[in-house]
Amino acid sequence: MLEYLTAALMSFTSVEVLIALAIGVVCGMAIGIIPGLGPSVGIALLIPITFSMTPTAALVMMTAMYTTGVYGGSITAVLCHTPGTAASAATTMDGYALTEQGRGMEAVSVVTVASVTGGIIGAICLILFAPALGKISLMFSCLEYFMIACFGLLVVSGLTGDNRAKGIFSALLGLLIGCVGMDSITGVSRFTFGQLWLEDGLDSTPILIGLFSISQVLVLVDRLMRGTGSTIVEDPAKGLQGKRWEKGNTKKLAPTMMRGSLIGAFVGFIPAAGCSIAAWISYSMAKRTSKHPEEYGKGSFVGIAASESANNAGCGGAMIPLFTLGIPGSPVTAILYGAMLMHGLQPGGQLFTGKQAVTTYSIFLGFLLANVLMGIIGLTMARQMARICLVPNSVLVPIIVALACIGTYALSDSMMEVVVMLVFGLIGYVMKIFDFDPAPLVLGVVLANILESNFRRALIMAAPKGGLIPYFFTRPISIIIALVIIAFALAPMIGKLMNKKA
Amino acid sequence: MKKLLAIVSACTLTFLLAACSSGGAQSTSAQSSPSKISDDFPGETITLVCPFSAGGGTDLGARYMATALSDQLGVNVVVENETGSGGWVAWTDLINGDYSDGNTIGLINQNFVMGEIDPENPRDYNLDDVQLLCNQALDYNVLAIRTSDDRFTDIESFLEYAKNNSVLVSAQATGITDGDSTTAEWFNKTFGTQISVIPVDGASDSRGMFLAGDTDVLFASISDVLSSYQSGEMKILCVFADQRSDFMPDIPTIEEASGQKLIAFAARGYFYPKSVDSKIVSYMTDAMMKAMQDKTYIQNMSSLGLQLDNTSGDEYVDLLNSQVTTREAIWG
Amino acid sequence: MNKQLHRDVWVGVVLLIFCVVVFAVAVQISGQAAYLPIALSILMALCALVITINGLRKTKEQQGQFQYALTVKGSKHAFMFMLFIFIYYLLFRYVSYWVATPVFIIFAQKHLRLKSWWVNLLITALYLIISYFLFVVILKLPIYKVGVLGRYFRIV
Repeated sequence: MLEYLTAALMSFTSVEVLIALAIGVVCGMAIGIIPGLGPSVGIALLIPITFSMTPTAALVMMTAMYTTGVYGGSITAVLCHTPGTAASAATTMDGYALTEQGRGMEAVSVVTVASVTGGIIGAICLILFAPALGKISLMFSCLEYFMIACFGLLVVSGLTGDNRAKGIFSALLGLLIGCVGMDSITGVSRFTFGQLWLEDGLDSTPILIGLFSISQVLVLVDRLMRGTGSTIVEDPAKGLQGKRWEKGNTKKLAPTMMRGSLIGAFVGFIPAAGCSIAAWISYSMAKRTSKHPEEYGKGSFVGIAASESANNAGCGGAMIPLFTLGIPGSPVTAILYGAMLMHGLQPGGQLFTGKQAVTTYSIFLGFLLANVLMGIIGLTMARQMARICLVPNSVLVPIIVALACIGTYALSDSMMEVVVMLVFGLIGYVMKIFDFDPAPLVLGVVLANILESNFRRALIMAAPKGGLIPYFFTRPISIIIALVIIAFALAPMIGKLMNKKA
Repeated sequence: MKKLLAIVSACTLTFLLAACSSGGAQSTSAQSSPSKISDDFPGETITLVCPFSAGGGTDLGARYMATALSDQLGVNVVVENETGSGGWVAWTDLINGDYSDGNTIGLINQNFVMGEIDPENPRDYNLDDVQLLCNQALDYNVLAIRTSDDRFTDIESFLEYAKNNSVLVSAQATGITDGDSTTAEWFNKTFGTQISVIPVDGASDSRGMFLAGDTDVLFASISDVLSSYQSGEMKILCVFADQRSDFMPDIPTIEEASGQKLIAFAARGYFYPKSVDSKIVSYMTDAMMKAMQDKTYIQNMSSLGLQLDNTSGDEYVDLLNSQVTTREAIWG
Repeated sequence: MNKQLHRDVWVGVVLLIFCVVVFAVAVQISGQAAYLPIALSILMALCALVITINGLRKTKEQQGQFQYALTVKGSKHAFMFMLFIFIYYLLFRYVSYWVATPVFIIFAQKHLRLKSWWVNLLITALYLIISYFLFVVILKLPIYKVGVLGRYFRIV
C-alpha cells in the first residue's frame, strides 16, 4: 500500500489534478452555502463537465466537493439558520443561537475545525482500512439497516427535551410524509392523489430548506417590521465577538471531535445510513454524556463540534463500501458511483491492487487534502463569512429567498420542489408559533423509507429461516446494535442511579 | 468593503476557470452544416432528454450518442436529465409538451411499454403515442451465482436445488413490469422451482445483497456483471437470449442449458413525440444510424459492456412489444 | 377573570382531526403498504391527545394567563411576506426567474425598509449577474424551461 501512496502523492504534481482539487473545494463550499444546492446536486451537475477529464482529476474534484459541500451547508446553518443538507440540521440550532449573540465567528471556527478533523479522520480510515472494512460492510443487511434507523429515531426523541409529545408528533409526522409516494415493496401509491410528481415521494431537501430557512426568514421579517431587530445579530453595535480560537477550546473540544469523527466514520460506513444520521447520533451522544445538557440547543460549542466532526467523517466512511463493493453508503455516494463507472473505475478489490490502485489512493489523498484546504480557507475567512449576520435583514431576506428558489429548482429541474419548499416554509413558521420542533420532522422524512422497506425486506428474508425472532438471533451485528440501543435508552437512568449511590 | 470585493473577484476567477475547463472539455467540431430541413430544425442545439439520472448506464449511452451525433449534424447536442417515476415524468412531459420543432429527442426503454400493463399504476401512453427513431443498445439478462457457492454449479444442479429448496432473488419490483421478477416467475412456472423475489431499490442494492449471501442467485444484465464475470467474482450460468453473447462466448443460452427458451433483455433507444414532422423523423434516424458507426462511439459503448444494436422503425416497435408478449405469456 | 384555555388544547384537537383524516385515507391503501400509515395515524392521534391533556393541565396551572412568544395574530407581517413570496413564485413559474427575481428583490427590500434606492438596485444587479453566471453559464441549469419568457434568457 505504501508504494501506492507514494505514487499517489506524485499524481498531485499534475496541474490538472491540482486545479481539480482547488475547483472542487471552492465550488463545493459555494454550492454548500447556497440554500437548496448541496453536494448531491453539485456532483450530479459536475458529472457531465468532468466527462473528458482524467479519472483521478474528476474524482478528486467530486470527492472534494462532497466534503466541502457538507461543510458549506453547515456554515449557512450557523449563520442563516439554513442547513445545506440534513447533515447540518443538528448544528443549526446551536450555531444560529451563537450567531444571534454575535459569536458567529467563533461558531464558524468551531465548525471549520471540527469538520476538518472529521474529514481527516474519515480520510485516514479510508486510506488505511478500506479494503479490510469492505468485507465487514457486507455483514450489514436489511435487518441491520432497520435497526440503525430505529436508533436514529430513538436519538431524535431523546432530543426533544421540553415538550416530548410535540417532538414525537413531529417525528411521526415526518415518517408519515416519508410514506408519500409509491411503496418500494409493493408498488402501491400512497397519498399521491393521482399526482405523477408525488410518486417518487417528497425529497427531504426542499422540506429541510422550507422548515429551517424560509420559516426563519419569516421570523426575521417579523422582527424587522416590528422594530425589534434589523440584523440577525441581536446587537450589531457590538460587532463580532470573540477570538477565532479561544485558548481552552482545543482541550475542551478535542475529545468530542475525536469521538464524533469515529462515530461519523462508522455510521457513514454503514450503507444506507449517511452523514445526517451520523451527525444526529453524535450530537445526541454528546448531549447524553454531557454535564450541562441544558446548554444544547442554545449555543453549545461541544454540540456543534460533535455533529460537525461526525458529518464530515461520515463522508469518508460512506466512500468505503462505495470503493470496495460498489454499494453507496449515502445518497451522495450513489451519485459518485455513477461517476466512477463513467470514468472506468469499477468498484471492487481490483481498485486497491493492480493498475488502478494509484488512482484510487490519489482520490483518497485528494479527499484528505480537500479537507485541509477547506480548513485553511474556512479559518481565514471565518470573520468575513460571519459578517453576513451584520448585513441588514432587508437585503439578506430577499436574497435568501431568491437563492433558495433557484437552488431548490436545481435539485431536480422541477418547480414542484419549489412549491414543496414554500409550503413547508409556511408549515415551519406555524410550527414555530406553536412550539413544535422541526428537526424531528426532517429526520422522520429521511428515515421513513429506510425504516419501513428494510423491515419488510427483513421479514421476507426471515421467512425461510422460521420467522423474525430466530432470524434476528442468527445475525450478530443486529444483536450488537440492539444492545447499543438499549444501552443508549437506559443511559440517563443508569446515570441517575449511579449518582444516587455516590 | 475592499475585502469583500477581493473575495468576490477571487470567486469569480475560480468560476471562470471552471467555465473555461468546461468549455474546453466539450469541444464540438462543427463540420459544414448539412442542409436545413426547415427554419427551426436543426436548431442551434439538439437536446437528448434522459429519463434517468446522470452517471447511470442509460445516461452514459446518451452522452456517447450526443458526442457522435453532434459530429454528424454539426450542431451542439446536449443531454438533459429529467428523472422521476421510473421515467414517466420525462415521457409524460415529452408527449404532452410542445416539442414539435424536432429539437428535443427522448430516450426510451422497456419501462415505457410496460407502463400500460402495470397493474398498480396503469399508464395512459403506449407506443402509439410516439414515433420511434432507433435502438441504441441491447442488454441481455443472465443468471449469476457466487463462485464460492457449493450448492450448485450449473443450470441442471441449480434447477434441482431450486425445486427442493426455497431460493431468494432480488428485483426492482414484483410483478409483470419487472424483468427479473418475470424471469423468476418463468422458472417457477416452467420447472416448478421455489424462487421468491425480494424487492430492492436499485442494481447496486441487488449486487450488495447477492455478494453478502442474502440472496441466492442474481438476475442481472450483461453490462452489470461483465467485470465481475471477468474477474471471476461471479459465475454466469446462462444467458437469456437466442444466441450466445460476444462478451461471454463460453456461457450457454438458457435453451442450450435446460431445453426451455426464455428471452429477456433491456433495450435503450430514441423517440420523437407524435407532433414532429415525419421528414424530421427520418432525417434524424438517418443521422443517428450514421453516428452509431463512429469509432469512438463503438469503443465507448463496448467498454460499458453494451451490445450495440440499431433496429429502427417498425422492427423496433416489434422488438419492444416482444417483451410485453413474452411477459404476458408467463404471467397469464 | 380571563379564563381562557391554553392554546395547546386547540392545537391538540386540530391535530386529532388531522389524524382522523389521515386514517381515513390510509385504510384505503391496499395490502401491506397500509400498515405503517395506519399505525402512524394512531400513534399521532395519541400524541395529539397528550398535547390536549397537557394543554388542559397548563390551563389549570396558570389559570388563564398566558404569555406566548409568537402568536398567529401578532404575525401579520410574516404572513404578508409569505404572500409576497408566493406571488414571486407565481411570477417565477409563469413569466421567468430572471423577470420575477428583480421585481421581487427590489420590492421586498423596499418593503423591508431599505431606504437607499442606490443600494437596492446595486444588490439586485449584483445578485442577478452572479446567479446567472453561476447557474446558467457554468452549471447549465435548464431554467429556460420555466415561464413564457424563459427561453429568451437561454444561452446556447
